[in-house]
Amino acid sequence: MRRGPVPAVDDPRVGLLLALADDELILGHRLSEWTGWVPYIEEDLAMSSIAQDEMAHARVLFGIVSSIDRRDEDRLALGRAPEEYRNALLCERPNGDFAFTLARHWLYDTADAVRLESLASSTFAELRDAVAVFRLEERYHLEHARAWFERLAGGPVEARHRFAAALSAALPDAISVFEPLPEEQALLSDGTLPEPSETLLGRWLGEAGQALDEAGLDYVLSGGAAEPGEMIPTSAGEIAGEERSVLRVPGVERRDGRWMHAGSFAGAGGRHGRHSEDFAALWGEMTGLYREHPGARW
Amino acid sequence: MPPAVTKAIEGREGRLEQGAGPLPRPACALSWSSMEVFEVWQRRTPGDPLVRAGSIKAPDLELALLLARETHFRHHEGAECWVAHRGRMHAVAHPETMGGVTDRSYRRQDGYVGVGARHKKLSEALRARGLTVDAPRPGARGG
Repeated sequence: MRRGPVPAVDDPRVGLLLALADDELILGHRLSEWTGWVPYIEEDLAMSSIAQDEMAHARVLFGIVSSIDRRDEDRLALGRAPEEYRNALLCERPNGDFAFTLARHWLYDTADAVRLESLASSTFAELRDAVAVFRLEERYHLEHARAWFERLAGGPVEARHRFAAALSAALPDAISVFEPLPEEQALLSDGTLPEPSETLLGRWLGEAGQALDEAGLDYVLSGGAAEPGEMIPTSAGEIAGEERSVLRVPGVERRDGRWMHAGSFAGAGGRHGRHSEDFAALWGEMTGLYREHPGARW
Repeated sequence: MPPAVTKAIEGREGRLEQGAGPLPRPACALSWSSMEVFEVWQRRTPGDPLVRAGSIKAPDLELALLLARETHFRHHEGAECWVAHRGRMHAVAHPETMGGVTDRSYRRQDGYVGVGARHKKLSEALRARGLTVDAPRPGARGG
């Protein structure tokens, strides 16, 4: 197996593929941490199955990267330095309690659905085909997330409290799913990305905002409106030898009865390989075996 | 908890707790008493009959439908998955008398064991006396 420096392949599509794959890989890893610990067995199986689906999607995307730059799947999944991972900060956050996990699940899967719907008309045929397959499975994830959303949002006070707190806490991170990619301009110009990330952010906030309105939980959004431009600490400091940095995400406001973003992104987050402290521990565990035993196979 | 969260909760939900002291914290979000049992059914291929795949616990029908597929169908076990609330299924009374308790073996196929051989033996005895059975056997074709 080849190790060493990343081959210099100057293809903007790799950046997009890794962002999509890493979201699925890292969220899949987080969800798999619940295996055996979910409040009851049927939900444990569903959560673990969703984790496996996410990892399978990452694998398909790594396969496409592999066809472009010849890095093998294991190396892409486990053999990169922390600052080479492109996942959104949302995916790397620790699971917290069941309410946070389900809030993150709902935020991520509704955001992912908007993103996949757009990518379904990408000019990049391999990606478009993969997206068509992912959407079949993501439909279940979405139904699962929505079912729990309704039950926790409408549940007893304790459940509703915890769920609302989790949604509020995760909201800025969820917005960062739509942090523009460094390669965004190139990807837009050839139609690989049919729409800018910011357009998708607006669409997602409109849809998610409507669901939150209907559940009487819109105040989790107005928490963001009070201080537009929430700052999310990111840090690749020790690893990349760069200064500690922050990602500033747009605020949220209601205009003409519809939730949308206000302002734009500044700084650098997950899409630029800048991660939170939470990522370091996850990376250490996830890649430990691969680093200890180079070339190990299943 | 971030200040924005605390603020949001105080703004809307905090009122619910006023004067009541902190709410007791359950061990998990779900209460066991709200769980119902659902029987799960499958067809292995689209033409097959429904057979039981097992059972699951879920708080309601919608979650039962969502969870049944990952509990019993995550390895391509079947082409269709159905769930039925156990409380909506009803057992017939007195199952011990089903099929009857007195001898009605004539109703069963095994009640006819040996009829052909007896018929043949009787026919031979009649033939020895120069007689034949000219009525067709019940159910015999042509004859």
